[in-house]
Amino acid sequence: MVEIEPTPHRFPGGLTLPGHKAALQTAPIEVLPLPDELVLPLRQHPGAPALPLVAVGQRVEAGERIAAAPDPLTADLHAPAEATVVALERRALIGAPDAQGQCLVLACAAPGSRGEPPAADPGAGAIDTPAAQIRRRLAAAGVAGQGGAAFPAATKAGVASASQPRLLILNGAECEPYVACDEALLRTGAAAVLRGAEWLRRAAGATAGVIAIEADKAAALAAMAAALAATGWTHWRLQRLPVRYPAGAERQLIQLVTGEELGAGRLPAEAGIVCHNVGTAYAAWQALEQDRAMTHRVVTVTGGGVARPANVLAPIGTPLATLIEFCGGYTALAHRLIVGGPLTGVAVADDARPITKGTHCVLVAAPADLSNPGPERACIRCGDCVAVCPARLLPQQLLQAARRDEDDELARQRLFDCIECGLCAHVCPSHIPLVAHYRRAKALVRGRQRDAAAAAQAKARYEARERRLAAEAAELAAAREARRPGRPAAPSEVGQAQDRRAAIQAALDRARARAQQKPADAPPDEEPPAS
Amino acid sequence: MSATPPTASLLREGLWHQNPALVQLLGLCPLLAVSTSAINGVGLGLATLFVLLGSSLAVSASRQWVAREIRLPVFVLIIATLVTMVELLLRAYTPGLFRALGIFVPLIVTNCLILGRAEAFASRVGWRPAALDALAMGLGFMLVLVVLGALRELVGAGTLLGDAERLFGPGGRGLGVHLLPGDAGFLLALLPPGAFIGLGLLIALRNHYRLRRAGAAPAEALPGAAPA
Amino acid sequence: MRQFELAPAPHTHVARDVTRVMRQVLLALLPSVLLASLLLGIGALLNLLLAIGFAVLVEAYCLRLRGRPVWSTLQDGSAVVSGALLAMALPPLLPWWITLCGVIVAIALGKHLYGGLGMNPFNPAMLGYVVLIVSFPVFMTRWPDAVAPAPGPWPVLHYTLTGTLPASTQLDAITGATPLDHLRNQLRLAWTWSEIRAGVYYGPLGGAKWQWLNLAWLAGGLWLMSRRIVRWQIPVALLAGLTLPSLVCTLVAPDRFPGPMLHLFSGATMLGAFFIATDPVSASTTPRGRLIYGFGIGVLLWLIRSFGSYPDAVAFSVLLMNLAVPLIDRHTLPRRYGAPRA
Ligand code: SF4
Ligand code: SF4
Repeated sequence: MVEIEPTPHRFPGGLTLPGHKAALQTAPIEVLPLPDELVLPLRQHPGAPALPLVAVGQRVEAGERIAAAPDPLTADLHAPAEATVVALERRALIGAPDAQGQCLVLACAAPGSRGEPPAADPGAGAIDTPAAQIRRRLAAAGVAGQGGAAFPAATKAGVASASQPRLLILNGAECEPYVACDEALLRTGAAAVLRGAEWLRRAAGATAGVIAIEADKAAALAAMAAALAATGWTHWRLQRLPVRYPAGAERQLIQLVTGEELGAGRLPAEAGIVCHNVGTAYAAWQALEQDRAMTHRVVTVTGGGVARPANVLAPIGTPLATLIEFCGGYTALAHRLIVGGPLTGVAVADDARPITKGTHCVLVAAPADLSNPGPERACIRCGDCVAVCPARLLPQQLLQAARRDEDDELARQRLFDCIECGLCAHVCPSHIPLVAHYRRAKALVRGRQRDAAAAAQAKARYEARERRLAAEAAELAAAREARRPGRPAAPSEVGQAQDRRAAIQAALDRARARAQQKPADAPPDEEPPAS
Repeated sequence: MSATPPTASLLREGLWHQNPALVQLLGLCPLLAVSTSAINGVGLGLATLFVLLGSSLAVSASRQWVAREIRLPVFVLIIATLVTMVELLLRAYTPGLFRALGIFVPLIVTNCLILGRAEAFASRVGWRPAALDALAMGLGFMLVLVVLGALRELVGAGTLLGDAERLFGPGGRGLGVHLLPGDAGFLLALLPPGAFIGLGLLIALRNHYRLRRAGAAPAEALPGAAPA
Repeated sequence: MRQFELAPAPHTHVARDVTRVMRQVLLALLPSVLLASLLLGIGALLNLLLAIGFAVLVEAYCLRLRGRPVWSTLQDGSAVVSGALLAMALPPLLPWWITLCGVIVAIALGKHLYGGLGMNPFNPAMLGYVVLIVSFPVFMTRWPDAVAPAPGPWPVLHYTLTGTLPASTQLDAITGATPLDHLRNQLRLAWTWSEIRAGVYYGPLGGAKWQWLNLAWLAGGLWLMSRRIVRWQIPVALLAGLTLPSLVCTLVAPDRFPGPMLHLFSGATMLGAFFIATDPVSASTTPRGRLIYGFGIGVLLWLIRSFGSYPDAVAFSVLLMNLAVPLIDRHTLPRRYGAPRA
């Protein structure tokens, strides 16, 4: 048996929250029958939207690539099932209330059928494929982070491998209440997850691995310990995390496992660490050993507003309504529809929106799940928020700065260190929606920075153009000077060069004088900077 | 400013629209320090009024002959002369009041209200409007001094004109009224914070009244926000 | 398609809210109020009721003037707590209109003029108290005697309502020195602390009567601390700031300086440490800043008690440190996450 080590480190702040997971901690993963229609947003990743490869009316096979990533921050999209492309149109998406985006709409060929083959044997043996090849196959399968941001796994591994990481952390913390999909994967498919993690470790070139799981997931810990023992791999360790939100946030997780505080400006790769989510590891295993693209994922559907909470294996692109219907539909208490956990999830206005690669939880909250915050009152500077902030901020001072919207003060209060974990607003006895204020402030600051950058670029362009025009004019003038009749037929080389330099100088001066007469805000043209 | 604004408008400016204490917030140091009783207020108010009037007249009358470059020293000289006169007069006839006003009588020289009127108004107009303006401004200043003094005296000591003999000699003793029982005054009003709170209340009251008159248009910038 | 309401994350909140916090603070004060009524006369309770009543009225009026929702804002309970804290600091023999003055200063001047709850730089109750003590020194230093039995309810009620005593009672008969008054007088008369200590004005812990009050405050404060309503930093630092200099001085000059025990269990030490200095609005908000803030109050408390002209100094110390809070906050920002340990 493998030893389960407790983590020796802590992170600042944080809070132990009631889990609300008991019902889903023993249930199996249920497979959603194929819905009639799948809606695949082209933008699911941090990068630009994927480029569709299929035409409306075209028939696609299960696992066929239907959209290609235009940049490394986006992953390819694949058809979850045999289907017909019926539309390429804008649909409402999960996110901001008015979030919309281009989606490929697929009509499934065999709705109601079980779209997913039964779980296969996880396989065995050492993994020694070259890293670059693994990354290619991860990219080809469209594997992306399942923890929320859907960062392409191949890119992450590639970036990390450049810095020779020492550690891959498999993030099984799942610290947010209600969410239980990673735990379900760990319980039922620990061996596959472990092999997937090993593939990811090799892809990144990390020398060792740590599997970190929160202490309240006893079954998952036991299953993983057994899987690890079966492989006999000694470069993997299994760690038990304290039950303390947000243990699963990247920087806090790294601190728990290594004791190292990773400041907001630093990437994990710079510290020689790469983190992957449990679901991502499972998808990597499927991609590399089952030759299957990432077209499905496990979603926790839970809350007092849904009749039969469950962990559901569903195709990417399933509308929320279909998932909820599969789980027995709404109860009379259904009150708010939250995609994600209760602390960081976004409330959505309707259930027609489709799940994406990053959707881990659908919380149909009943009023009892929400603990109604009551009226907003003035901040009494009680400091409760300071005590829980894992980024060691002073949320109440940050709030003042955000209200005043002053760049200097916001920077002093380190606005961009905030990881938006939501704890400060969770504990605030005055019920101030602190995180909403911070998001707004971040958007405003980013807008200003963009504007400033654009202005600087325009200025640089304009100046480059002026320089170029002046140089051209000077050259022209010099040429004219050289051709002027009446000059000595054969001036000495040196004299000629001197003359030319003087002429160029004179022309430059003239050009500069002309330039100064022009309005300073003459529109910049589209010339690339000369330098 | 036109050469000769009408009399009534000059008076209105000084007493209300451009009241030196409530609107321009000038001369606050003596105002806050000595306004512990109505009589003190009358005393300092009269002294200031006298100096203001005298200096405005003198400055206006001599404006033809004073070169721009040396006007400030000349103003100060004129003002200081007048202040010295006032000081000697007070010392001779109302020694009690003089002791109560203390350093603030000589300090009238530095009262920015007086220098301000000389520079901004008296040195540019004839003696008639200059005198009128000085009268209006001086009265406006005195008005605030007296009201604030009375307020603080009433709240702080429970009396009104309780120290009238300082100004009017022994004959003034009967003038005072004792309005609160015993030693029940709210001492804070007589202490420095009381002066600030009192002046703040007066300014607030004035703004309130103005806003009400203006049909509650709070978008308008409130006077008293920035000293001239 | 089903529609749902929208709301920003996070979607859950702890059950605690401002109203509940204030209620628990009041609850923690209750035993000491009852004890004070027993030891010092019914005036303590009378003051409490009057101050709370006035505070609510003044708060409501200010809110109306400022065009804020009156009823829902009143429910945050902050006015009630400010009133109660002011009442705890007042001598239990006080005409009602002085209490009213104090409440007006505390709520209208101390809180609403600065923009209402959360914006006030000074502890409102202490501001009210200080204004009263500089304005009405005679009334505010008239305490029931520390060794005589508590005055009966009738004279106290009469005095509170009219400002005079019933004909049958003499003022001197029911008022006297507090232990801290007594101490400073005797020290002035060149008695040594050990001689003074042997007198009737002192019990096993601190000043007579007040030692029990301080115990009650301490108990209430510890309860609040256990409920995490009061964090440990300010009270502990304050008591340390008071203990340290008094300990040093009593070791150096035992005749001239009483030891820490007297300071800890006399006057309003525990009230100040657990209920007043911990007012979050006017205290420092950073963890390190709270230590500095509390320690500063403790040291000032000892300094003013030992060398100042007032026998007790909780209010002055707290207000002085309130002044320093922006500075403290600025210089005690927590170490940035990821920054090297200094
Ligand atoms: S928890 Fe809320 S009330 Fe308390 S300091 Fe933070 S923002 Fe202010
Ligand atoms: S949301 Fe930001 S400020 Fe609030 S607790 Fe989390 S990291 Fe701190």
